[in-house]
Formats: sequence, C-alpha cells, structure tokens
Amino acid sequence: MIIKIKYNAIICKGCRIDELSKIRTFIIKQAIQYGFTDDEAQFIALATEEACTNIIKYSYKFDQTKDIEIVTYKLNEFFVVEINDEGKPFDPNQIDKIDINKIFRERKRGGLGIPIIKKIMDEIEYLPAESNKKKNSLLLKKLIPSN
Amino acid sequence: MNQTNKFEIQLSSISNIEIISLNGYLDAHTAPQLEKIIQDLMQNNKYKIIVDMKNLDYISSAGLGVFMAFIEEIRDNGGDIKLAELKPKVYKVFDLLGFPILFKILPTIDEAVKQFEPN
Repeated sequence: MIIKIKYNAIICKGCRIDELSKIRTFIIKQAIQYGFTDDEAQFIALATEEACTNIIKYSYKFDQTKDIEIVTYKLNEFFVVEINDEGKPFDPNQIDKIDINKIFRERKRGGLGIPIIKKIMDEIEYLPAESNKKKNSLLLKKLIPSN
Repeated sequence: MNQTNKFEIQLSSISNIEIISLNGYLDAHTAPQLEKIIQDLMQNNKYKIIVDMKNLDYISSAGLGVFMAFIEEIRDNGGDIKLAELKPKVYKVFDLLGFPILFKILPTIDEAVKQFEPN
C-alpha cells in the first residue's frame, strides 16, 4: 500500500484494512484545523474509516490494485470528507434506519458501519460513477462549529 | 504519520469468570483476534466473560460486531459479556448505536465480577 498526502488529500494505492489508521490520523488533523474538538474529529475519522472499510471489503473485495482517494474541504457551512472509489456503486442512503434489536436477535456482526456513519455525520451525499466521471464519490458532511 | 496501530489481548480469570483485557485499537483488522478468543472460551464452556477496556483506545463497528455476534449464544448458556472500565471516547462509540441498553457496562472490574455473583 502506498499513501500519498498532498495538503488536503490522501491517496491510498492498494488500500489495506490494516493501514486505515493512517487515514484516521489524516482526517483527525484536517477536522481539528476546521475547529472541531478532538472528540468530534475522532468521530469524523471513525465515520471515514467505516466507509473505507466497506469499500475495501465489499466493493473491492480486498483487491489491492484499486485505490481510494480522500479529499477534505469546506462547502458552505460543512466540512466535507469526499471519498472516491472505483468499485461497484453503493449508496449508503439506501440503507434504512438501523434496528439494533434485529441485529442483536439475528446474531449479526456486520451492518453496523453505515449506522455509525449516519449517526456521526450531518449529511451524506452519494454520486455514482457515470460515463464522464470515472469514480464514485461519497461525501460525508459535518457542520463546522460556529465559534 | 503513525505506524499501524497496535492491538493486544490478555486473558486472566477470577474464580470462574474469564477476563479479556484489550489494549490499543480494535478495528476491522484486529477484531478477528478478539473473535477467536471468545470462540475459544465458548468451546471450553466458559460463558462468564468480562471485557476489561481500560487500555482500549479505539473501537470501530467491527469491534462492536464481535460482541453482537456472540452475546445471545453466551446468554443462552447462562453466561454474559460484561464490559468494564471503558474510556469516555470508547463509551461514546458504544452509545452511538444504543449498546448500553443491550450490554451491561460497569465502571470497574470488581463491579462487573459482583454482577456474576448470585444474589
């Protein structure tokens, strides 16, 4: 896996689950620069990690020839973490609200990542790849603190 | 940048209660190690488990999922998984999805041990 960091972007070539901590560290630093507290920044990093884990496991199926590119920026009142991937499109907004008791009864160990992302972030936008846009983009948005 | 975050598990016991002490980062990469430990305990009919989290710095959904996967079978066998000494930042992740309703979360190991003692 090769990680390239350029100011507000991190490119993870051949992204592996055991090295997601590097993405976490990057996001925490970026979020703190936008005025989030340590705890808030760690939550935003957790949401980002959950999204990247899903891409690596379910979309790339651990294929290490594929890349994940993450860009952070301000858009209106939001801090945005934009995650770009080249896998099969999957819109997390299609997942209904979590029923934790159902997961409990069914003894499931998966399916908790997207609920965590939805609890942490204020808005989630998904832009699937199209003919003129090669990558899927997942935009995780968090309102920037006012003071 | 940080190196890959570490994760360690230590096992101990108090009378017939197993204590799993977690240290470091419990995420999608390290969760299978915890899963294996709990499976081994269950295979040896050890269903009374306390997870000591005082040195756990981070948990993601994969870590939460390990507890979800086994808790019902453990309770069906008369045991439980009780969670103790969570750091506030780890507790907040459990709290995000309403885990404190499903799991007994105690401030100390001693209090978790007492929960297993008959009234």
